[in-house]
Amino acid sequence: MIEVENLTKYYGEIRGIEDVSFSIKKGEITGFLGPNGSGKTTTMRILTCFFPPNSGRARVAGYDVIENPIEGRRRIGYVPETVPLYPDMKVKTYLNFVAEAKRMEKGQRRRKINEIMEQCGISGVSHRLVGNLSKGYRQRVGLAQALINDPEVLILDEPTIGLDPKQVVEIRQFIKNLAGERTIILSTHILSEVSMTCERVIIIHEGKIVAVDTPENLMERLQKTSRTLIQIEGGQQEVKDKLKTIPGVINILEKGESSPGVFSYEVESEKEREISGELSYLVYSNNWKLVEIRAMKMSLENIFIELTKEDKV
Amino acid sequence: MRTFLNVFGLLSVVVILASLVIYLTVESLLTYAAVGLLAGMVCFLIYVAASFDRLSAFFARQSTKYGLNLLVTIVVLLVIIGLVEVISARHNKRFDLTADEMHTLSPLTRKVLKALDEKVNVIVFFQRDQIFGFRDLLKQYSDETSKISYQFFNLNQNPARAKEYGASSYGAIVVESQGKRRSYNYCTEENITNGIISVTREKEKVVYFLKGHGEGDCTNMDEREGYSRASSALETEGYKVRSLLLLRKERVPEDASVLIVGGPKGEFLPTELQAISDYILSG
Amino acid sequence: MNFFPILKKELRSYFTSLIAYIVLAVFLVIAGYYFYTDLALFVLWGGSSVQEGLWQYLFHDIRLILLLTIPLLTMRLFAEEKKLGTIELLLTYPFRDIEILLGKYLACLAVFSLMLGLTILYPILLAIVYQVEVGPLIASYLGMFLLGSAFISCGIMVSSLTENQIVAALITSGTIITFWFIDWNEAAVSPTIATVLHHISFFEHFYNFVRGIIDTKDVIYFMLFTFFFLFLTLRSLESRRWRGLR
Repeated sequence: MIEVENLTKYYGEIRGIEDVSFSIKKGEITGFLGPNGSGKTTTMRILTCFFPPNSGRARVAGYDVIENPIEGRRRIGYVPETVPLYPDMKVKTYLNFVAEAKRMEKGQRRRKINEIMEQCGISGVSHRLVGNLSKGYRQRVGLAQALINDPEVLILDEPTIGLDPKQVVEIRQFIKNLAGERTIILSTHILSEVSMTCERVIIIHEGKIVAVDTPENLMERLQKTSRTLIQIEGGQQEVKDKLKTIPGVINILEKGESSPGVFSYEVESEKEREISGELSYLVYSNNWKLVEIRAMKMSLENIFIELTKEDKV
Repeated sequence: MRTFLNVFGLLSVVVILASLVIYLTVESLLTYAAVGLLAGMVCFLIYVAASFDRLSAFFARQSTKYGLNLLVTIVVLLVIIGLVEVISARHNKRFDLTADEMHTLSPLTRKVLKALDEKVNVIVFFQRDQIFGFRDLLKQYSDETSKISYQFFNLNQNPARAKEYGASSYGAIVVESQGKRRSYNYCTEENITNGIISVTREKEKVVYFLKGHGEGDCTNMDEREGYSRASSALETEGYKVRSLLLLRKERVPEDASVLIVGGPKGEFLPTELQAISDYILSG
Repeated sequence: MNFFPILKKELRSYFTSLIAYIVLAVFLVIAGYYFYTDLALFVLWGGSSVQEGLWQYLFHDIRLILLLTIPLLTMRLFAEEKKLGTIELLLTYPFRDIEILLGKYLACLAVFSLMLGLTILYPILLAIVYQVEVGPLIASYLGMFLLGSAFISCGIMVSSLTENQIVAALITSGTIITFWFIDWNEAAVSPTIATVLHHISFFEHFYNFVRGIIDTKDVIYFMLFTFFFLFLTLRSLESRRWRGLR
């Protein structure tokens, strides 16, 4: 559905993106992950046929972004980061304009507008001026205008930014429900969002792609060591020394006092070695009071930092 | 260092352009302008040499190529537009929608212009706003025939020339051809056409008013008896007016185009009658 | 050529944002005042005809008001969208750049035509008590329409260069004024340059219209001018896209 080959875009002398290549299958939700200024918005703008790249090619829904932008745009729904809308138009009027802009059939328009307003939960504000809406509603109107023509591809730039937690959850669920028939790309710098909503992640940093994979695979690939969290009631130094004696343990990280007398430790050990058995034995034989023990998965934060620290995977 | 060079380069371009403008417009500063032009170009060359590397990188960039491409497109378009404008200005069609077509040349004028063989030059002394209407008028003349040329001089700014031609009012015109000149107070179609007629006439036409029999005198200002109005009108048309006392002469003068016998009250002598009939018979 | 949605949107925006009403009101008030004054002068001093003595001056005065009001209409055409950020969405809709341009241009032209059209009232009023020739009036209105469309093309071009509407309005005014007076000081330049300036001057090509003359060279001039500035606007839009800016 989306194929990108060696895209490069420079803003004068500043590098936007360089040699970016990836492909996305139909119906996937893909997350574009990267810090601010890494090239997410640039890539999206090229995909939406906003501007052409300096070199490279991209095809969206079968149409080349340089050669056939008009056809491509008809099949894309785009919500920019700032969700720019015309403040002096009524919601319904605005959606009607977008419907006309996207060359929808006249007969279909009315029906579709009402449908979309239902779906996005904005039927109640259909006669209000866009400029008077709250951020949450504006976001929904933004989504509505993107969805109005039933696009094959949906491109969302930072869709949850600026929303309150409840709204964030709603939007994420909404997006997940949209997948299946539609292909969705969303960009974000919130890592948890990616792991929650996306099937695949493209990590981009300083204009170059750093990794492309599912969140699980990434964690799998990068986790060089196992980490176990253990909370024990007991004397600190003694526990630490004893923990060190378990074969395969590389490091013990003291994580402080979680409750009176109870201390947390992060036990880093070799990946292949299963130490939980030996840990339990140690606890039992020393009569320590065990409060908690669990395996820690490498967080996306760590992956991200890891990947963007030195070189690619 | 880089900013200094950039400013230096920019200044040199500004100097070049300014010198060019001055060179083309202000006559008195010609040498200064030439010097400025040369100096500016030298400075610019220095700038190019000093920043050569950066400049070549700049020109290799895609955005620069795009920019230059755009510039060339615009210049070419301007040239084309300029050509279209000039051509349409030369071969234009005018639709005068006013009631009597008062802004278009009359059929009489057109006839005169069609028959015009010699070159005629019209000089107009104008004041500011007047020039637009005058120019429009004279352009029509020159559209009809290539024999008409014209020049405009701002009266206030050309006092010497005005004196030379004897022009003293705003809108005064002088029509000249082959050494002959006629002046008029105001630039109108009537005056210009009369001027053309008068300076291209092969010989001077003289109108004689017969005197001696109680005819109306051509210098008489009296409303009923005198013909002074008629004679000044004739003079405007380019005719010379004289009175003729046939008693004293044997024949009607050679240069008489027209002889006016205006309301004679007395008797004619036989010699006079003979002279007059000879004149008539001679054509 | 699908510019209708944009045309409708802009027209709606002109009238809901009150900008059109205000400009129209200001224009008509001042134009009406000029009509009154010029008519009074004509009654007092006469002239060779109604066209020469009255309409000519009135239309020159109206031209002056247009010089100031049209930039107010054109300033928001692109600058506002850039400021709001809506241009980003607009440029990702299935519109060709020229469709966007034409939609906006024609919307402004429509508002201007309304403005101009309402001044027909003056000849009508006069015709009730006095004889009015229609022919020269047709020429005059044609001239005014062409002049306005040229002004608008300049305004929309400037609006596409900046986000700041005030700046756009000021630069448009300045440019129009320059083109108007560019050939008035003939004495300062050489004859060849003077001729060149005559060819690009607004005044030179407008003058005959209000005297009742339609000259093809004048019509072509205005059409060339409008075309050139619309062309420049297209290039400006394209360039913004290329450089990746909004």
